[in-house]
Amino acid sequence: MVPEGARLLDRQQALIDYLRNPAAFLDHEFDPGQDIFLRGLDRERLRLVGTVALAKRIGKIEAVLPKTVSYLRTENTTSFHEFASEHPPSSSRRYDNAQQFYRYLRDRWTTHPPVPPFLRDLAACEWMLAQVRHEGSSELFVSRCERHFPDENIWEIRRAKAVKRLECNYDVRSLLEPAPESVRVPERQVFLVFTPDSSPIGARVFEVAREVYELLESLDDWCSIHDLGLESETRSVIHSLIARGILEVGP
Amino acid sequence: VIRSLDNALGVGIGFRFEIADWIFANLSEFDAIEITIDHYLNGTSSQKATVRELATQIPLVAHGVGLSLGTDMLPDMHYMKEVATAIALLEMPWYSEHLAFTKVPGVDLAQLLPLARSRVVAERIITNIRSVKQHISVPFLIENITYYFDYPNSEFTEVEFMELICKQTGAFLLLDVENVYLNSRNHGYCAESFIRSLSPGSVKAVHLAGGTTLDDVLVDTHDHPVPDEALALLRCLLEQQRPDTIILERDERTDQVDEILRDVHRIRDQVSSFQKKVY
Repeated sequence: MVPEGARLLDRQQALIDYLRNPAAFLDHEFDPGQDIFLRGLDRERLRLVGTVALAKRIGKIEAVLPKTVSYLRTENTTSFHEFASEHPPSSSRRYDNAQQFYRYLRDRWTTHPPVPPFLRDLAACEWMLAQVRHEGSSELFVSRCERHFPDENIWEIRRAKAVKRLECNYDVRSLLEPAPESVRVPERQVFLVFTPDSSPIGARVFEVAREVYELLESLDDWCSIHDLGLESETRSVIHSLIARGILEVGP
Repeated sequence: VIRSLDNALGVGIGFRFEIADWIFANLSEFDAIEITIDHYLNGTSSQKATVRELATQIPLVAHGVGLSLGTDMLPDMHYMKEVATAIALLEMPWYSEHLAFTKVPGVDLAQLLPLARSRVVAERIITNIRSVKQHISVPFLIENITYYFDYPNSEFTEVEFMELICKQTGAFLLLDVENVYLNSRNHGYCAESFIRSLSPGSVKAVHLAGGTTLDDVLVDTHDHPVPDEALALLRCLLEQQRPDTIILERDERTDQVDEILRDVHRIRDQVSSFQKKVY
């Protein structure tokens, strides 16, 4: 019997704690009947519910990090069960679950390097794209970047707020295509910039030179073009970055 | 074109962003579209714009998955305000949620879990629906879920439990006919008797879907065509009830649009003979 006076919420908490944790509902040694709040419930059916809920959660993560999850399934080097057991779902949203999973991978890979090794960069790129889609409002973004000022000497520029940067050891961009023509992943240092756009994917990735990458790092806040003292060649790069929405122009 | 959904037996589908273009191209096939309000609230600005555009072309109805009506605490007021704003903006005539719980503080399983059918739980649900109705001005509907396990020592049958809550709160039922079918098979009861025991006029909306079998259990996966048995139950329901809408839910294999359209036509075939019936 459930103890008299036990709150309904305590019983609901016990049930969700059990069902969210594959280490519990898949453990044949663990008898849910030992938990007074789970007594009388069909163990096999609970296992089914836990399995369905976990599959849905992995599906949400896969919607945000599709290529990463696909590789993890193929290589079978990371336990989704381990992730779910250690990280209860704090939200029903795809983005939040993907964020939890990405952080789990990042931590795990500090002690267990990923296989294949480019997976670290692939996951980071997919997470950058997700962040850009999540944080960047493409309509606002485009309108800000299209602002026109006649005299570039009075321009102030800064890195667009929705833009993300990432330095990678592998060029995984071909893997990010919806249907990649090749899966060649060269091992080379690349400097990538992620921006929102209005395509169905909702984000784009560009490779930039190291100097541009470092320039972008320094443009957190508004800065006058005049004060930057740029060469004319660099000014043309600035124009290109503005056209691609990577830099914003302000008054 | 249906101007009002009241008792219209309107046929439609649940909106999914993955097939938004296809839905827009086939709007003439539908009388109404159901929006999962949480998908709208969590959508990007362009996704929200898409739904707002849809609202100018066809009646929309609101369905929620994030309220966790059965959790033993009052609903999240911030969430309710967001839902209310969206319902007003999109001019949706009613708002439905599941008779279930999905979360407790700190953990959101995002899986519909059944509620014990007891007086204590009924009181909590009634309190929570009254709280919802303080924010939402349109009628509120509760939906029966598929449940894979049940609690011992229930004080009410499923129909008694739902009708008690509706009577105390003024809520209506969104009857998921597929869920009635799955539960009847998984738990061994007569689905037709279940449907015939519902009070006339209590069902304001209907869901249909197709599921799959896992470990000999029928599972509500929304990924296959509606089974013939569920369509037969829809006919049984329409003998007594005249809902506003009958919505096909499809969450997986959404690229199989021909299959989805065939299901819409199969539902319409069942509904057409009841369109002129006087209840």
